[in-house]
Amino acid sequence: MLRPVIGLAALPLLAVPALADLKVRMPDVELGEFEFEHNGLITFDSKGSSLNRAQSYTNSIGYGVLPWWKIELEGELASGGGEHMLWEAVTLENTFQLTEPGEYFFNLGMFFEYSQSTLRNEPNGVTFGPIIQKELNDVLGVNTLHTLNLFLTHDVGHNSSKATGFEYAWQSLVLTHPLINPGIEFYGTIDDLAQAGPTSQQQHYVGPVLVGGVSLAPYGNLKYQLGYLWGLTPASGRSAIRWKLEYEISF
Amino acid sequence: MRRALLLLALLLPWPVVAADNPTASLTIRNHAFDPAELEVPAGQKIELHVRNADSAAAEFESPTLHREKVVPAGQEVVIYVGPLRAGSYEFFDDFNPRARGHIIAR
Repeated sequence: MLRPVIGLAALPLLAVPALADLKVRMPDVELGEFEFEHNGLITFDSKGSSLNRAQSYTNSIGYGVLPWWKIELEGELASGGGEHMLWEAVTLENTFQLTEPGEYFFNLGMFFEYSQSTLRNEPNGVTFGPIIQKELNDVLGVNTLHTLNLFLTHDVGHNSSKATGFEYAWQSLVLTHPLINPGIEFYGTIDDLAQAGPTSQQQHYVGPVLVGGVSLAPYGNLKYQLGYLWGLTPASGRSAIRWKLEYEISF
Repeated sequence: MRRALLLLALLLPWPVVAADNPTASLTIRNHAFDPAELEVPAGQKIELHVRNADSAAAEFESPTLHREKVVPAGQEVVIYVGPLRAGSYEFFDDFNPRARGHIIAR
């Protein structure tokens, strides 16, 4: 009975890529856990550039419906440099945990999101693809966690293009202490795989990140991420700051 | 649906290999872990069976092991940890944090 509901839940909403989507999705799902998440991103570039002080924010609520399925409802706000903030989209995200963490050589998950544009004449979109994670313990005396997202994107509905886009996100962390784990992140976006064009027209970022959290048991967990990114191409802007705040509690 | 997605993922050329692992068992009874100290071999992946004998759900959590999993009342879950360096790793019940224990890897 639940499976048709899963299919229906995955269909109804759609996606316009938002800059605050610069985050790495994890493959694990916690049954019965509510998540309240805020993501923010500000990009910096030369004066007059639309990427200078462009902002993007998402706020979402998620729930672990099954031991292997989490659903999230997200609102996306964004503005170009010097422009008014606009509510751009409502997105329904689904994460499917395919393997038990640590059971196999990789931890695997699948991600599927449907985002409904709230802007007139803007297309909706879908984003989907695998989440691959590798735990490498005792590397030079420390444990490490590496997560890779490889997602395809496609417009749907009115005014949609035929382009299939590609997004990647990679985060490698050194698990030093639950409160603070340093790492490095890479992000990239190619708007049209068939006409990827020169690298200079694609968006690629790299930079350090701090990830941590504190247990408030039995009142849940508070987690954070804070990253600084350098744009690697002219289309990426000069740099960006991104953050994520998350509160999770199980019932 | 989960099996279909897993099959799809397995068609990708990732090496996904399972192996026989040492097993260890924990029971949650009267809102406490039994045993509270569990000795396991260092340097090997451990298949940890956690059974909840209570009538309320529990959540095995360990930031140092990087594991978190709900254990429904009356059920058993399997959690994979390690390979661990020799040392002590704390875990607790996130729903009842007075219930605590340690995995000792030797």
